[in-house]
Amino acid sequence: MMTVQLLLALLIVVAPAWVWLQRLVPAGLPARGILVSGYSVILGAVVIGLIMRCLSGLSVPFSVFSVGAASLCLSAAGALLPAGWRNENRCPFPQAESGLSNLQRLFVVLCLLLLAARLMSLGLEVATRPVTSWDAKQHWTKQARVFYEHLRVVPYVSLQDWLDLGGRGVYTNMHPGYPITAPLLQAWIAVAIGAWHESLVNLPWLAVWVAMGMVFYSQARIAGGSIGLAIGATYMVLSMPYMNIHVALAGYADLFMAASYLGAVASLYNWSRTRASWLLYLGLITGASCMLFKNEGFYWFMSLIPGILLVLLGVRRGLLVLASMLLLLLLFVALMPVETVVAGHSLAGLDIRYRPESWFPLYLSFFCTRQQAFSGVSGLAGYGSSAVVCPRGIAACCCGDVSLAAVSGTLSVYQQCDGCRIFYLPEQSWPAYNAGSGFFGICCTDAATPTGF
Amino acid sequence: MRDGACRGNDLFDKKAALLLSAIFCFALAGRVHSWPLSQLVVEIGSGTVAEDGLALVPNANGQILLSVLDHGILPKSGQRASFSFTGTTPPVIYLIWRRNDSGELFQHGFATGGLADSYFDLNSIAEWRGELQSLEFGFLVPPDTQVTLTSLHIARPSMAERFKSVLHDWTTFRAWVPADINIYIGTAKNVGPHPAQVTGIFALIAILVYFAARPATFRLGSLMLIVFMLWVILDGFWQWRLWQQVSITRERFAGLDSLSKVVASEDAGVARLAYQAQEVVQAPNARIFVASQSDGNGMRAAYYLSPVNVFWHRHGPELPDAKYLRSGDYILVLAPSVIEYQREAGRIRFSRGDELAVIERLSSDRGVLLEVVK
Repeated sequence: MMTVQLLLALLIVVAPAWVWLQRLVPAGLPARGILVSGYSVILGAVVIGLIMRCLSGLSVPFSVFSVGAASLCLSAAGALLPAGWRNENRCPFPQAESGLSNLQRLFVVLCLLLLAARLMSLGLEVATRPVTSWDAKQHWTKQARVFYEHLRVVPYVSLQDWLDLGGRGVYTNMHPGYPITAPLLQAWIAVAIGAWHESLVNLPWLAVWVAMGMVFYSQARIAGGSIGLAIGATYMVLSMPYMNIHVALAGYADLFMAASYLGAVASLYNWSRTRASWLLYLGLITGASCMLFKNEGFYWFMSLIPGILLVLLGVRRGLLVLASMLLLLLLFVALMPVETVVAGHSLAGLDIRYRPESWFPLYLSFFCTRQQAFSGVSGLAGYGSSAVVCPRGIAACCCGDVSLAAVSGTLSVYQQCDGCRIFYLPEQSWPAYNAGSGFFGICCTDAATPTGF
Repeated sequence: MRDGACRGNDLFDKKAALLLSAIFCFALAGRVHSWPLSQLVVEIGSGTVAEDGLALVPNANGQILLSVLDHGILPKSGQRASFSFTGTTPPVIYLIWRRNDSGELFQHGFATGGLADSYFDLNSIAEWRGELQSLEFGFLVPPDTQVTLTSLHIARPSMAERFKSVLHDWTTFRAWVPADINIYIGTAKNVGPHPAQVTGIFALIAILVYFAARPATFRLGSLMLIVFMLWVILDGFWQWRLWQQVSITRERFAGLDSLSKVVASEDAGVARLAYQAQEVVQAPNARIFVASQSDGNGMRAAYYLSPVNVFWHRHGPELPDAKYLRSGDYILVLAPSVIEYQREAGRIRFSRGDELAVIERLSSDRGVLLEVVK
């Protein structure tokens, strides 16, 4: 029974985004079904959060019927829209050879087996372990429990505001300004199964891990990668330990933001090569979704802008515009009051100054601990090879990602809080950066290897 | 082209042979110094020499202290303290020493992570130098726990030992703790070299060798295959750890309902108190203030009290000013805390000197639930 309830919960999350994406994504793409399914999970998570917020605004309590009905309406709207709205563009993308040799088939099977083993281990861990991680208990899942018990979104305020208001009608925690999409997803699972369950509320993390694989694989295929190359690269992305840990010890919103950022970067990469408008829309929507998962998502969304400008304006004019924008930004930062809060952070709070002791932790973080050094190396190698293969498109699209990595890395040395923590941007979003950079590398290397492997 | 490739391979073979020879010679040159168990004196607790090692029983406070008879110990850079146990491993081992040139007593504690074979590199300890006047080893374990020490030595490890310990570190499993979500190191102890670093270097070498061999047709796919294979090997370590963890998690939590999982977890003590407090607090709009010096206990209590309206200020004062508390509020005081509870007087005193009248509603060894009656 519970399995049916969980499948229904998933269906209600995925359906609206799936129906709308069916309209947006043109027919004839390689791995189109996988692409639509992967993006549906990521965007569906956002949509279900928005639905639940709307219901709360209308004083309608959460239930399978209320949330399900809203989801159904959205799906129906997508399905019943006039056919003229449908994107009928045929696939303009180069198709990699679809036939596989025996060796390639063996390779694909090996990768699928490795992925299946990982899915099984992570699935067992998530479905069995109670909420474990610190921030989940301190913030995200605690909020989800409150939303579930009240069957509505309740306001969270700062500690001082809570004291001033006497706690009447408001709750408090250490970070009341964070987006509530991830807690709402957990609350939704509890609503769907009719009870709070310490393990099952974490299942969305497993679903988004699968979605990341689907997005990566399908976008690699659209970029012209062979089946073998795309599946091999997908296995490499999905097997990153740090990402796996965020699934197994679920509860942090970082994985959702990573998935959104990956979806955006991958879409915009293919858009930079084809200029197909639906890829730009998809990239912008998933990029903007970052902001609904974490405050820092604003900075990640902004990181996409330089690449888009370079593609639209060309390298020379684009760089000129970007340089002007950077000057304006620096001027704005210099003139604005240090207490001004942007996306949850202020200059005063960041306490930016040079901290030479941060270099070593930064090195460890980048190459040794928080991620596989390998993915960092392969990402960098990917950028290098891409510069040779298709310098204009890739250089333009990578610009945002690389510049953000460089800026955040440099800022790490100025903003490190203590001996082991580094600037929050790379710390919380390396999975996205990793996946994005790996994707570029794989696609471009594939373009240089017509026969695949 | 083929000849070129052969010449490249020959050259590589010679270089590899030279490198291996150098490593072998360096490994032989490594010096090992150790102290046998017979030279150890049990200063605190009791010990008997058994077949499998030195069986130690702590005193009533769970302390064991061993001293070394050898007074000619010369701390040197690159030394490593190694311990092997059977049965229980003390969670923390203390190294306590006094130098000839200073009357000061130095102490350094090392977390073992519960590993039967533990070692600690002494490089990072600035005071580990000169000549030792005395050297002692302290173990802190639960009282009535027997510890069997099978070997103990401080030595400068040879290359072979270093290699062995690195391999041991890479393949030893340690169950997850909540803080593991912040970091993945790939080793049982947070010391290098990390598997990812080493594999990355191997990948680089393999790629250089590929180019040095000058293959007849350059194929980027071949390079990618090399990287992929190394990735699979690297992933093997992680995959193995993950399945070990799954096995432990299943053993501990499989088949339990949601509430029983919490009770079976490491949060059981605090969670039980929080659930009991929820039963006491019946008013729908009740407020509970969680007061504790412990971040972990405060955070857990606030979580398991949900959906009750909870105030918990991490890193802040345990309680807000008394003016913010009103009659009917609850205070859950969790150890350790600087809130002074005068049970007989029915009052609590804040660290800032404020006082409040309270009624005790619940008490356990973890903490106490008080209702404000001001």
